[in-house]
Amino acid sequence: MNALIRSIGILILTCLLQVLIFRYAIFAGGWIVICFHIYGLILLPSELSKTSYILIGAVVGALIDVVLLTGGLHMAAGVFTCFMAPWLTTFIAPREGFTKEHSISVLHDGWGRFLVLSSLISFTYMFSLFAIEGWKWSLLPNAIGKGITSTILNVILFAIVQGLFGPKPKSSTNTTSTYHW
Amino acid sequence: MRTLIQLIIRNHRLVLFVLLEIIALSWLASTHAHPRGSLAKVGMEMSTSWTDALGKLINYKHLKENNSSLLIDNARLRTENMSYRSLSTSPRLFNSGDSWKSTPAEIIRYSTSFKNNILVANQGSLAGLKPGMGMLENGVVAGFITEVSVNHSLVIPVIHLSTTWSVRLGYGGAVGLLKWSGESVEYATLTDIPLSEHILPGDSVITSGFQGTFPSGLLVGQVEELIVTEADEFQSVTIKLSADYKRIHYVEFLSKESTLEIDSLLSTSSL
Repeated sequence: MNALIRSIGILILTCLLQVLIFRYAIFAGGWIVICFHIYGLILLPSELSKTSYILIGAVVGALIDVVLLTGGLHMAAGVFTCFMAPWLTTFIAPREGFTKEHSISVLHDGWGRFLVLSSLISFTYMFSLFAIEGWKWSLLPNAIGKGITSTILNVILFAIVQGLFGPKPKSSTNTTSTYHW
Repeated sequence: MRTLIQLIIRNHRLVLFVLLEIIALSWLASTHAHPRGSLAKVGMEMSTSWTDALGKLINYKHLKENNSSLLIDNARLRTENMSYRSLSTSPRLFNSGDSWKSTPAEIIRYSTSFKNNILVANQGSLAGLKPGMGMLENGVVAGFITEVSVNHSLVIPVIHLSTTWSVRLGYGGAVGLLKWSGESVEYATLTDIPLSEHILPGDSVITSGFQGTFPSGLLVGQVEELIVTEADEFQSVTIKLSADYKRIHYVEFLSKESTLEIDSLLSTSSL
């Protein structure tokens, strides 16, 4: 339960950061777009049911659409990503599967698993966002290209944030002093 | 019936996914990527206070450039003013009985990197702005209003996939449809130009005045290159847009009394 509340808190924080700061992070003529709220979606625990996951994706997307005036674009991408996410997670899951309260982190799963899952979820989101936005077969290669470039920058950002603020190993050194004072 | 319910319950995740996607795509389609209605107003009000504060900081950075741009604009207006004085009437611009009114505004939010870009201006219904009014950037065509709240308006620029603009090649040339292809913010494509039309790179593209959003004769861009397909009876032209969307800041909105009259006439005839 604690992991769930923590993850929802992180999701709200990432949405706020997306709306207030990262909405301006559009580079190279729209080829690189930061969607920081994806980080919040990646960190959602595996104890969540697939239905709740889809609903969370829809609510997050809809809220961002209302503020950024994108009229359903993020909602469609969020729902699609959250529908695919449980299936994408199976690619990186260990043979025995994840524990109930498990939320992906570098500390518990290693950099490899974290980067692969972040890349898969980010690409699914960014590609669906650009594909729906273009809504033309001719613009599909463009959407793939933009999806790849945006995913690269998003994953770099997620890795930095995970390295700085992610769970840290507990110090093994004994902090209790042997002296009496 | 029971089987159907059981089937829905068994596949409830898929049903929910499809249902939510339909809602999202209908939301997108209902606005035709032009955000409007009460939700758009709520979004505008929610984000503008933050954008205003941030915009003030960004504006300081561009103060010097803006100042020189205003000086150039002033000089252009002064020159135009003098030419209007010497020629009592201009046959091409503003040639109808009632004149166009201009309302200045500032763009406080914009996107130029998407397929369906939008701009938000810091003037709304309080300043007399209404949906359908045209927007000029530095005297050239830049967009039109789709939605207004009390203090803000939502503008759809030329660089938006769902809009087409009626334009003319030069003052006596053919009328065609200008549409943005979704690639570069500097270029758009003019279609439906007959093959007989003689076009040269550098020719001006101006408003036709048929849409009622702008007076005829306002600069939209310049011909960059011709695209002629042998099988087609028409030619397409790549236009270099004159509006600088990457540095858009100070704009003006145009309105005309008779446009409302014409709109009401058109709506009556469609009934």
